Amino acid sequence: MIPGTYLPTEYLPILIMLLFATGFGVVTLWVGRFFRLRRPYAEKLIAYESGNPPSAPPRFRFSIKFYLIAILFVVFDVEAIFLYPWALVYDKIGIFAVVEMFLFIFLLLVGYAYAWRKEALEWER
Amino acid sequence: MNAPILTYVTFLPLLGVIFIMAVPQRSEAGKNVIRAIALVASLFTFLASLRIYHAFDASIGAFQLLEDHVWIPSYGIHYKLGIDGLSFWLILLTTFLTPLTILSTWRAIDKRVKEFQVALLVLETAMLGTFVALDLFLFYVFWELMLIPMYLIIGVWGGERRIYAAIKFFLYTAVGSLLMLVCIIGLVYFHNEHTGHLTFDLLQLYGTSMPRIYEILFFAAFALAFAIKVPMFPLHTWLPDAHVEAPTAGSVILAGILLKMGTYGFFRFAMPLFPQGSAYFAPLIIVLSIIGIIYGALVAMVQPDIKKLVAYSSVSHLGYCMLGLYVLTRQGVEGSVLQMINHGISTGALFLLVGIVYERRHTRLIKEYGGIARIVPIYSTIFLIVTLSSIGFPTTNGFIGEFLILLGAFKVNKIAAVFAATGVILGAVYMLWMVQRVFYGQVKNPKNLALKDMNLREVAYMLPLLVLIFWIGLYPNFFLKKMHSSVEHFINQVKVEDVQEQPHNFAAANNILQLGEVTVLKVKE
Amino acid sequence: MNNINMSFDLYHLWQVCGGQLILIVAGLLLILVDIILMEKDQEIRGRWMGWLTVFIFAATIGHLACREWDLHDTIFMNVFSADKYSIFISIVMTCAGLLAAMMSIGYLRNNGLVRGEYYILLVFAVAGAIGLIQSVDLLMMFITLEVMSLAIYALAAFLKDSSYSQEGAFKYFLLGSFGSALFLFGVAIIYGTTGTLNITQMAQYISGGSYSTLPILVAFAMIMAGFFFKMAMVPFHMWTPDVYEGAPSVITGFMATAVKAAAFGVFMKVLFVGFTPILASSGQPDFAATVNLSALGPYWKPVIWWLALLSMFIGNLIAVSQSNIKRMLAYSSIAHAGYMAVGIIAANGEGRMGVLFYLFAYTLMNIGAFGVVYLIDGMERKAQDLEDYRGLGYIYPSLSFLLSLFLVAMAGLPPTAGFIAKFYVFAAAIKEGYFLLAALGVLTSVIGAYYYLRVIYLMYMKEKVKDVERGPIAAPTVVALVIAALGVVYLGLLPENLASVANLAQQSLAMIF
Repeated sequence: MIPGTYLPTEYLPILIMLLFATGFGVVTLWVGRFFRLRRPYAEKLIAYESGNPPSAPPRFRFSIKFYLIAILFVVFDVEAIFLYPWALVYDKIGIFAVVEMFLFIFLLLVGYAYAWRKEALEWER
Repeated sequence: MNAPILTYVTFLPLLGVIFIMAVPQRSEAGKNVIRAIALVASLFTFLASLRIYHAFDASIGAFQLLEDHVWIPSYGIHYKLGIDGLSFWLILLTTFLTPLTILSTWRAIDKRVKEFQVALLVLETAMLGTFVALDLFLFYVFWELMLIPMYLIIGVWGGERRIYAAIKFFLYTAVGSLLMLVCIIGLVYFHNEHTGHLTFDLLQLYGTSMPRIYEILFFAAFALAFAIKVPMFPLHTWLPDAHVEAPTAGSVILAGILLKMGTYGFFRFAMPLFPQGSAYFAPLIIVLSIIGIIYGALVAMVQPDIKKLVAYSSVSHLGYCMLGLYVLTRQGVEGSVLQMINHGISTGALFLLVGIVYERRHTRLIKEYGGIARIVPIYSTIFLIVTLSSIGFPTTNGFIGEFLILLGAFKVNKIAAVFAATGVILGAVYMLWMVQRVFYGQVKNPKNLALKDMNLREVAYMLPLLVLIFWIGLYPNFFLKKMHSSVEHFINQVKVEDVQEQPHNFAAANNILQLGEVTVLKVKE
Repeated sequence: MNNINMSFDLYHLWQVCGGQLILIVAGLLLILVDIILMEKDQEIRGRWMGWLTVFIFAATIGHLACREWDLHDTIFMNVFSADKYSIFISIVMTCAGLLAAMMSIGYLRNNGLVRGEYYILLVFAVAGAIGLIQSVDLLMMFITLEVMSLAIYALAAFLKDSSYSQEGAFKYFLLGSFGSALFLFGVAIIYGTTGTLNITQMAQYISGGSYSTLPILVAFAMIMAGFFFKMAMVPFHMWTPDVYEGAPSVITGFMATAVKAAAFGVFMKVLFVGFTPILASSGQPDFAATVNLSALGPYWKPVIWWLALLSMFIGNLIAVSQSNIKRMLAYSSIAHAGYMAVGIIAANGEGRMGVLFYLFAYTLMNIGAFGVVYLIDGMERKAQDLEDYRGLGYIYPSLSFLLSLFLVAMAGLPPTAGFIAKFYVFAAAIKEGYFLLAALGVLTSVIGAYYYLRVIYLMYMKEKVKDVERGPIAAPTVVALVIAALGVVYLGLLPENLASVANLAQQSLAMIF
């Protein structure tokens, strides 16, 4: 196919489907408002069955430490995923790939040393 | 004649600046040293400019003492200097007035002396550069360079409303000159298209052929820049403010030299570059000059402030210069050039005199004075002489200039000459009336009784001016003979074959209006 | 992608990507130095890190200037290219980094914020910027753009206790991400339409002429919008004043110059290599058809015409009403973006050369101005109001003189670099017949002159109302200021040397293929 002349007509059914699905949900909920009974009283509004009444507001601040851990996770765990595709092709690429991966690990290592020395790994400071 | 004498003259003041920078100004002695250095530097500049007098050959109409060095080759910009009969006299006027100005500031400027003298000397370099530059880009650089020191001189050492005046001065001048820059570049590219030669050299740009409509547009932009500086009638409003608020030295330089930049610009650039455009606008400019002559005189008449009166008289006098330029006869143009020098001398002298009395009494209101002729006889005598020169009394310089202009005007346009002549009468009225109120009658204000007469320093810087007033008045040919051939050359350049105003071309006007649209959508393939 | 050619020699790597390599390796080393010096005294640590950074930038400039100037090459499967154009802009940005690093030594000490991360981020920002300007691949452009931007976001937020800094940085981050997202969307559409991310191949595709205009135009508009965010052009300028006001003064100077240089540089590259390619006079053999090269001109020229005009007007007009000098300079930077855009719209060699010259001149004068601002400030936000500058001309004469010089240069008055730069861009526009734009543009510069001169009159023509105590002056800051001032005057008097180099640089745009 010549690029540029391409129009994604095959995907049109999906778009229509999407519109229908969304429309069905919204419309039925909205129409239901006019038919259902609505008699709220105190007992009916409390938590259902085995639920406990909330003891504190549901939104409170997590310690910033969690975010730090999350970021460190991204850096050191997720980036290690790059090792898997590398393992599949390094024999085809050769010595260059080995050097490259060592460089990559060295980069991570510098970051690791930095995080360590800056006490990002300590929970209590 | 190999020494680059114009360069020396132009940049000598900057040498003084370097020396001044090295002197501390804490003590009174230090301030005096600074003043002395500035004076010596400007005197040396004057002496150096006398060498130009010897080197200048009056029989040549074209430019001489040329210096030419490549500056920015990719745009064909050169460091090109040269003078003709007009710039020759204006250079001498500049180098002559500057030391006198510095002498006049000896006591008047007491704070920030160093900065002041530096600004003054930088300004001198910029002014000289403007007069000698023969490359449009170089000219523009010097032209803009004048703005900052003058802005500072008005703004730092001026009177009460100095900041307003300084900014007004700056903005007026900047608007005009930036539009001029756009048109300079436009002109250069027109020339480039025509000859395939990219250059900012004025001599090569003379006679660039371009569509008449562009010539008119470009002339309008150039004329706007210069007319603001002159100042011509509707654009003059910055002048009274700037003059009144500026310190004496600033006013002298402003009136004596900066205003000449405008007329010089017309003479050197606007008219010879765009003769067609010039011819197109000639009637308008003549009318505006005459309005300026009469309006300036009438407004001057009712001023309560001596300095403001002198400022408005400048509007009137510069009107004569423009008129003289535009009648395009030899007498008219020579008279105009002479009148530029005269105005520099007489009005400069008047501002100096006003400054002297202001230093003593700290007021410039006419009604504060009266009858002081008996108390300060020397001052009064000199003031009267300068007044007579300013109103064009025979045997003084003013007479020669105005007479030549009117003579030239009468040959070409009798009505204009008649109207302009009324300006002479009005000039006599406002100046003499002011002199009468200030110097004669009874001493009404007891404060004036203790007024001191001029001291030796003040007499010393007034004397050269008085000498020149009579020199030009009695033997004008000494000055005129140096400019004959240059003026001939100028008239030949500017004269359009068909001086009659061509019928207004509506199609052309439409072209101008559409120009904007065309420019917007122009896509170079 | 069958033949993955990963073989290359180190010589080429060094010649093409040397600048980036030096900066990245040095940045990593700086991290190590920082953690080694952690136990040491703040004073010693700040000095070590600062001087090392200065040395790194100087070495980078040295490498860029001494590498084989005539070598045009690409590397990593045509992702990065080294040509005179990108080397020139790299040098401009590294100079900005160098001057900023020199000033930072004093700045951080005055503000009691000696932290190594500052210099590390600065080094990575410049590394990203050089990568950005060297990339010929739209995706790599995006990645390096983000490398640069992330470092700058963090630097803008560096004043941890200042709510202005936090607010500004957050705005910058949100709007900057928005801009990047637009850019990325544009890139995606380009890929969908042309099937390539390489701007030279894209140019060949477009020059073939057989394409539907609409998706190309939409992508083009989005890419432009993304860059205009970074360039601070109206109407994508909203973040500028807040960010410039809140960020540390030296970083503001760096942002206004290096980031602008990077954005302008890469925008011109995408424009004149990708969308409306210019060709060397010899012509390129691998172009299928060269008839359609400027077909997109009618679309982007009016857009930039208006945006340039609006930037000049709005930037200058709003700057007049500012009372904080950093905010004022922020609006002035918007106006300067407009002036540079005038050079782009001319779309000729002179215009591109003018923009390159302008970028260099603007770097010198703007960083210089912010350097003086931080010195007079003492501590951030102690004396930033214009009112604080009253009467300073006589209390701190040298600083005031320097600031006046930089402001006069920004106002575009001779004999300074600012004047020559404006002359070049406007001359280029006039050459192409854009008289109206040039006339309106110079009129806005009168407005500009008004507020620049207002600072000067406050300093020299007013009596002081409040005691302003400047911070201690550090030697490297003085050196940086003097370099900038001399550069501004030198380029104002003898612009030809730099201009001819800039001209060679812009000509090499035609040879990237």
